[in-house]
Amino acid sequence: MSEYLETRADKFVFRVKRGLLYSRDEVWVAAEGGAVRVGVTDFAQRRGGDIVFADISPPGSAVTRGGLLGSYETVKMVRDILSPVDGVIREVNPVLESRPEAINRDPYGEGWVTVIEPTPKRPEGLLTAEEYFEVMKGKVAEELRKIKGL
Amino acid sequence: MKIKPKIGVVSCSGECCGLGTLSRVATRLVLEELRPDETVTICLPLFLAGEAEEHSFAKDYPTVSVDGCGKRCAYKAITKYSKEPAAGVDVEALLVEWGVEAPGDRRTLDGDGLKAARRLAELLAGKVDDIQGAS
Amino acid sequence: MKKPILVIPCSGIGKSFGSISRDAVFRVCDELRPGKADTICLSLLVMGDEEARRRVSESTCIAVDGCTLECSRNNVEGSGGEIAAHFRVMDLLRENRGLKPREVTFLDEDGEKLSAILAEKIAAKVDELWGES
Repeated sequence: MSEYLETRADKFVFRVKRGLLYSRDEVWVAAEGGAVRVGVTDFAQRRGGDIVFADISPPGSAVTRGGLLGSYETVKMVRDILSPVDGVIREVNPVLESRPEAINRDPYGEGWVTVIEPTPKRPEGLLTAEEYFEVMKGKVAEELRKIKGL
Repeated sequence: MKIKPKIGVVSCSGECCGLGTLSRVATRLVLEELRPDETVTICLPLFLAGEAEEHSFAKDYPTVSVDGCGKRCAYKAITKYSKEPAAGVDVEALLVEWGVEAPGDRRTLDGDGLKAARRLAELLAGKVDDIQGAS
Repeated sequence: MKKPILVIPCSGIGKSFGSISRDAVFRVCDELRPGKADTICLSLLVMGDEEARRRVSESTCIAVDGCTLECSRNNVEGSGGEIAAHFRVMDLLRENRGLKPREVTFLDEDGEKLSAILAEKIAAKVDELWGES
């Protein structure tokens, strides 16, 4: 079985990594013991284009679900990254300081954003990969409609 | 309802002379203005570097190659790594046919160069229409 | 007689960065350092053109890429060339945060500014490498 669920629009392939949880704000979540590692989805990183800057709240920062974790900037836009959980930031990906494009190149791997200690320990209200895949396909279709002016 | 395939338009990179710039500008005009819903760009340098999405698209969808000169790098590259383009243009030969001079400046197209780019873009748009009509 | 330094842009057609890389290289070769810097068709090189391969193997090469996909560097090295210096438009954007080049077909004002900045940096590197060769 492939590591990813995939859908194609024109020449672009959008990927959802199996085994992760997802928020509707385009953030993926991987449980790691008592903490969660989070990052930006493939769909989100593609929409903005090449990421030139990433500004992420430092370790020790308290975050709330739906609240600001940080943001990233491309030539087209500045996009907020919204926390999928309540908790405290334990770690920020050091790669993003000098190479924020890691989010574009490997959004589910090297481009992870933060590690959070969530409260409660078990995150709630998140989608499975399969559920998020259906949501993402809908968003892809909507983007295509917008581009065509339909 | 018949679904028309998207067409990939591939320009040579043509750094050597103004013909490459002309090819590139005409290709972009097709993508941005003339047939924005019907076409996508395939980035030739990315394609040559082995990017999977570019290769895969060129295998599954029809393409139009736009080459600045008779060396036909775009046409040959797409044929070699994916499949033969559905249509191809040799811009140098076309300009001779039109009686139009090749652009002298490779960085910026002057008025005549822009006219030639628009005329070439219209021709490419016609090829896109032909391919979609035939599919 | 010294051979010109080969400055090879990615010329990526999908993003403004590719157009900027191309424009900057033309500025260097045709305006800032004619005779000291020259360029070749990247596609011709990768498709195995003998003359292109010979020039790359005999010359000092600078790769100028638009984005982090680094098509110029990857393609030149993949064709047996050695890169003496490497520039990426995206790195320059980080140094010039206020610039937002968006247009691809014809560079907008910010694209022109970034191209000019990049061209000066490349020209300085050409001078350095020319002095060493």
